[in-house]
This record gives sequence, structure tokens and C-alpha cells, in this order.
Amino acid sequence: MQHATPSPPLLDVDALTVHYRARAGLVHAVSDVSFQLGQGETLAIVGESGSGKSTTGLAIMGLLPTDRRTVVHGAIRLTSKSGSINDVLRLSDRERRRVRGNDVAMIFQDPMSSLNPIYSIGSQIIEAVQQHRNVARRAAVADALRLLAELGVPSPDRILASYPHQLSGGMRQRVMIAIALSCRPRALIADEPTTALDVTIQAQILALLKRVQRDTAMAVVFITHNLAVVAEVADRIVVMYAGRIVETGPVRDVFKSPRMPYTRSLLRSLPRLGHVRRSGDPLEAIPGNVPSPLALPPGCTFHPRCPHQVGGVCDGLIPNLEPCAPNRLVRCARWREID
Amino acid sequence: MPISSPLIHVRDLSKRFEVRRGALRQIVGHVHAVEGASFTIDRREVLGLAGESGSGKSTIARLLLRLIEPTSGQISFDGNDLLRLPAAELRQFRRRAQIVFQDPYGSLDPRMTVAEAVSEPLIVQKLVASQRLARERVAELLALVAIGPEYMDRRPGELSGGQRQRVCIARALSVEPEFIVADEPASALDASIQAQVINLLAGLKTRLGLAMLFISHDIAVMAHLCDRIAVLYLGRIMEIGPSSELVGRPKHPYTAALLSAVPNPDPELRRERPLLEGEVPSPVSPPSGCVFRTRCRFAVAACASTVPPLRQIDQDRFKACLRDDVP
Repeated sequence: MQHATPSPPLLDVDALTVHYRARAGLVHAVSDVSFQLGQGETLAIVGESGSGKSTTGLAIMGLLPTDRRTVVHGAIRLTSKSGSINDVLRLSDRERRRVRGNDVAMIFQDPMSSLNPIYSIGSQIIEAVQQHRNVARRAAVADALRLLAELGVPSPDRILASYPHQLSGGMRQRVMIAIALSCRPRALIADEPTTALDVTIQAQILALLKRVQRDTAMAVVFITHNLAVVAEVADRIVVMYAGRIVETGPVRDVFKSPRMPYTRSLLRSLPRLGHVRRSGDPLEAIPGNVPSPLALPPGCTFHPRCPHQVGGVCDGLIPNLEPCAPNRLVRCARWREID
Repeated sequence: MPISSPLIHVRDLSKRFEVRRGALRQIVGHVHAVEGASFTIDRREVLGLAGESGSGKSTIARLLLRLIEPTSGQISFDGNDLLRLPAAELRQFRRRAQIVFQDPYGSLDPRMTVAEAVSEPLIVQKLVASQRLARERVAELLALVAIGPEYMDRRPGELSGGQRQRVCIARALSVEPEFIVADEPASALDASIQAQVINLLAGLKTRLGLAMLFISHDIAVMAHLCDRIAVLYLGRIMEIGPSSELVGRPKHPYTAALLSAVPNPDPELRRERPLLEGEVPSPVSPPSGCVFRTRCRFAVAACASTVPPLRQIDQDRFKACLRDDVP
């Protein structure tokens, strides 16, 4: 699934910054995040809680709050089906609703809270179809049935007639994917879509997303904390920590030779099935805790937990995100020295 | 009783929950949560329970702690029949067996300080003479889980998820239990914190000689911590064996399918895998014979009529499958 990024990219996130004015202070949710995504490509955004990965996803969907407490800078340029380029952050509400679903769609971790419990599955898929396309109800029903069948849902007509609580978690996520795909979006934002599912169902959903992507050349932004899932599905990876990108590059390269100490530690802390020598072998843990977005450490935000940090270097200025290899960027003042 | 006898011995344990419907709340069926489970846990041993949601993992944990009563079967703890313990001894048992839950946010009272939360079991069990001694003991316990004494007077709201889970572990350890149930203790935590908690539990097992029942949906995490793993499907044990062998050479088709579904953290090894099709059947009307047969690639006619017994296939290894030639 390696694709060269065509120009212009389908999605161009340019210096996105999102801050919230909270009572306790300014929350630096996302700071200066930039990346591009091409047709048919899968980009994984990886991070722990508070890393800003979900906020980035919501920003792309135009779902950030528009009140005075939310400060948003930068641009999110999305190439629409007609070829025009829109900055999601500068669209009117109405224009944004048209882009959402049509050009970019989103699925979430918990399909139960994304589906309305009092409407049947059928009426929710049909609503999504009719929201964006001027089709009669009968055509929309036929569309919904076809979508579910394409997604490998057994007896789609029975599913259409059922209510969210009557379905399993895996089936609900399939329904959410059907709704997301109903208008054939060019990009899909998947925010932890398999985190709440059992591994065997996760494997089914991941295989399904891969198949849909192969058939439609849809671009996918896959937001997750699970590096093993990234290894399975993504072409490129963006690693976020405390609101900033700390490393990015092709998945194979980053997994083979991570440059940022945070990425290294995360990869080493993964339990690996093939590497169990004997039970009780310690996993490599990262000491300390993820910093609070209200009180970020000075300099590199990872330095208090970093085994390679040097006083006077890492706790001063925030290091730049700089090239370290072809198509790769790293944010670490010492990446040249710590191999 | 020789010291080598297992701490916990479970024989043919079953738990069915009634399903009631209608105005008269009539029983219309049973959820077969656990069916005929037999296993042992040795002193100083960590047994992992692996399985998907609804496989009966947490029901077994609650049965072993006697938080719920089984429908049938026997559980012995340190040679005594757990289900017939007199009240005084049951109180003793409540001290000797403890549990750590998945959600460290829901299992600490937000109004209690760390010191109050950790010392509460000591006071309930009347194990400390004074508040001052309780605080000394709390400091020791917090040191055991690598939390500094400066946290004693903080409340859960001021702690991170990983720190809260450490406090829950310290609280469970306060009464010096011999047996701990850890029900998905690291699942709600961030990736970088998960390893801390797993390592802490592994260290405590060695230092304190604890026996543990470790429940997780993540079989890779389990392989690192557990001595043996029991794989559950729809309330039945499919396979039991030493962790590294079971993970390296699964003997039951379900174990093999479960392992192949685990995403591999090496992008070089990306592959098309045989997927386990469909979903887990309803535990209200489980399939006849082998409960896994409806999704098993290797099922034969006999699988529908015979419930396969858990039989020994190798030193320390058991599986509930009629076939010897698979997977």
C-alpha cells in the first residue's frame, strides 16, 4: 500500500495550533502540527492521552468548538471532489457541514455513543445518505443495504431493522463505517476505531478498512495509541507527545530505527509475542508520567522522562522538528549523538 | 497438608445467571457464564485468564473471591472448602485474597486521601493499633509501589492514572494477602504506563511470593507476566499450559486463532492472516458439543455431539479439543 504523495496532497495540515482557555490556565492541546496526506495513503497519528492526537482529528473534521475559549491557528487544506481546495478552519458552518461526510468522514472509538439509541440502524444510515445526496428514500435504503453487504455484514436487512443496543460492538462499528462511507468520502479519520473491540474483531475491522481503502483509494488518518496496530495498517506515522509532533516518517523506517528517545522507549515497552523468553522478564517501562497540558516542562517536553537528556541542552529551548533521513523528521536536540 | 499443594484448587466450576423476562419475571433461560472449569493456582504462581469479552474471565475471578456463589462445583483455598467456610474464617479469607480492578478512577473514593484509602483495609481488618502506626505502614506500602510519601495526603484527583493504579495495588497489599486477582489492571492506562504496572506486579510476585490470577484481553502482556495461561471461550477452558509454550506452540484451534489476531508490532512482518470469522455465539444458547465448533476451521461432525474434555496432551499442557492433528 505504498503510494507516492501526489501534488497537491489530498489533506494538508499546516501549522495547526489549538489552545483552550481553561479556568486553570491555557491548555496547549496541539502546537504547530503539520503533515500531508495523499490519496490511498494511511497515516497513523500515535500518542498517549493528552498528546493532542484526537484534537487534531476533530480539527480536520471541523468539529472543534467555535467559542472564544478555543484558540485555533494554522490551516487545514482539503482538496474536495471537485478539485477546489478549502481551508476547513475558515469555512462557514454550512460549508463545513457539506465538506463533512462528503469529502472527509470520521469514525470513533465508541460506536454506541455515536449512534442514536432510539432510531433504527436503517434510519440512521438513510439519514446520512440523504443528508448529502438528493435521492429518494427507496434509493437510500437500497444504498444502505448494499453498503452493509459490502462491509461483510450478514443479513443486512435484519441489521437495518435493529437498534444499536441489539448489536455487538463489532457490528456497531461496521454500521458506523457504513455511515462514514455512505457518501464515498476521499478521506476517513478513524479515532481509535478498534480500541474497544476484542482482538479477533479488531482484526476483522482492520482487514475491512484495508479492503475498503484498496477498492476506493480513500486516504485514512488512523489515530491510535497502539503501535502494533500502526505496524499493521499504516504507511506513515506521526508520533505526538504533549501536543507536538516529535517524530514522523515511513512506518518501516521509524519502527526499524526510531530517532526520538520517546519513540524508542514506546517501541521497546511493547509486549511482543515472539520475544517472550520466560515469564517475568521485565518490559522496558518509561519512567514518570505524561505531563499535564497545563504545566508543560520547559524545553523538550519529554526531557524529564528521557534517559538521554542533558541539562542546559534539553531543558532550554524547544528543539526544532528537523530532517534526520529521507522523508523523516525528528524533534530532539541530541538525535545525532544518541545512536 | 504438604506445602507443595496448590493454593487454589477449582473443580468443575459452573455459574449460570438466570435470564428473567416479563411482568412476572419468569426465568426464560440461563446465561452460561462458566461451565465446568477445573484448574489450580500454586503458591507464588501467576495464572493468566485469556479470552474475549463474555468468555467468563471476570465471573471466574468473582467466584474465586466468593463475591458470587457458583451454581455447582468446588473451590478450595489453602486446603479448605471455600464455599463452606464458617463466618470467622471467611473474614480471614477476605484478608488473604484481594482484588485490583481495571479502572483506577472508579475504584478510589475521590474524597479520601491516599493514606486513608490505603489504610482503610488495615482498620477494617483491625490490623493496626493506632492512626500513627497506620501512617507508618502506609508509607511502607507506598514505597513498595514506588509512590513517594509526599503523596500520602493527596486525593485521587491529583494523581495520574498510573499513580492511582499503584495506590489501588498498595491498598490491596496492605492486608498482606497471599492471593491477588488483577482484573485488567493495566488496560485503562497509557502505553508508557502499562509496562510500569506490569513490571510492578511481576516484581511484587517475586518479592512477596504472591499467587495471582491475572485477567487480560491482551495475551502478549499476559505472556510476559504469567507462569501459565488458561484460554477461555464462552465460559469453557479451551487450553491451559505454561505461557511461553502456549503462546509459542498453541495446541487448541481457538488459542491459535486468538494469537493470530494479535497485531504484530513489526511492520516487516505484515501479512494476510486467516481471520476468525463471525462473532462469539450467545451464552444463553451456546452451541452443542464444543462451543467453539461454529467458528472452528477444523470442526468435524463429532464436535457437534461431544463436549471435549480438558485432557492432558503433554507435560503440564491440557486442551479441550477432540482432534490431535490440529492446529
